[in-house]
Amino acid sequence: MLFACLGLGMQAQGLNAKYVQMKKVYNFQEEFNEYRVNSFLKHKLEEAGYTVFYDDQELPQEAKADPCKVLKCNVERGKSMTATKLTVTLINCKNEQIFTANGESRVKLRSKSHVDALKNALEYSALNKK
Amino acid sequence: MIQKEYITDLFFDLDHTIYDFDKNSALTFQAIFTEMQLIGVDNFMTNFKPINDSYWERFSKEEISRDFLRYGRLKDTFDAIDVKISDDHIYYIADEFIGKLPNYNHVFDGAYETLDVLKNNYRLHIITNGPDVVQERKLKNANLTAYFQTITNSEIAGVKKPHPQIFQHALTTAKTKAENSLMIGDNINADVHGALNVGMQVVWFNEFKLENTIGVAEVQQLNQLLEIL
Repeated sequence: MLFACLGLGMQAQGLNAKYVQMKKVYNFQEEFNEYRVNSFLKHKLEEAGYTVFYDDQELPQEAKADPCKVLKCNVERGKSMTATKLTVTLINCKNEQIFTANGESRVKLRSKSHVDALKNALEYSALNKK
Repeated sequence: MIQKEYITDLFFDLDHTIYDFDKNSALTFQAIFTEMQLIGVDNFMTNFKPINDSYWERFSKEEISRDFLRYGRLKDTFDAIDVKISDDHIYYIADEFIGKLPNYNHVFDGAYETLDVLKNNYRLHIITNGPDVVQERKLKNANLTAYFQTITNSEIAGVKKPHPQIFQHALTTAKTKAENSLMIGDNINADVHGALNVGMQVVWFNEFKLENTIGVAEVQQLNQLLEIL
């Protein structure tokens, strides 16, 4: 997990981005924080030093004035018959993917498998970053 | 009969009234099953419809979770058509369904044409029992958002149709009164009785030509609304 935080943190420093904007509901979800994806990831991003906002919240003045202070965080669920596969990406103001991490979980229960997949994704994120 | 001279605001239900949920879900399942090369699923939709309805009923009463609804309605349908399928496959189909459904955005015949005319004479609104984000996705993907001035869903109102509170919430948001409003929906209990109960006029979208025991105004196709409004 140290690697993950380091990975996310270094990106923040390098690009001078201070804020991350997360979606309230990602494409594979039907309600806010389904499977606890949003709150878990928000926590991890905050641990890495970012200030996190959801896409229905107003950004602070500093972020509005300089869009390059904001990264967008996306989460996608891949196809799999036997596992929950998630990909986390951070996208900068130039629409470049500056961070990507894949993780999967073989836990059966959906309510647990998503957080497990996120944990696995962020554990090895330093190796996968673009 | 409809007294249209008082009407300024029309409230539409979304699923099964404008958005053709049955058709879109059938196409979604078809795409998933074809990709999986699943056979023996010809009668899937016929069986799925009533099972899905009963799961939604239980979900709306908060007897079951959303995850259980997604799994259970598929499991029961496969059991009913005697297709043996693993839980892994069922979870996979359930996940794929959520991902793929927004690709299909069929509305009922005449929906756009009818709304195009009605929007010139009335303010149009939505009252729906679906969850916020899912309904927003449907409206956006089906290019319907621009027609409607307000959208009230059960998440915003805190209760579902036919509860009077969701209708009151919709009327307040639309800044109008029940006596100037008319509800159009397919569900006899949620839409028709719900709206009558708060004093709105009603047109029943009776697609399947069910018996009209309460003598309420009805249409079988959306463009028939233009004859009565």
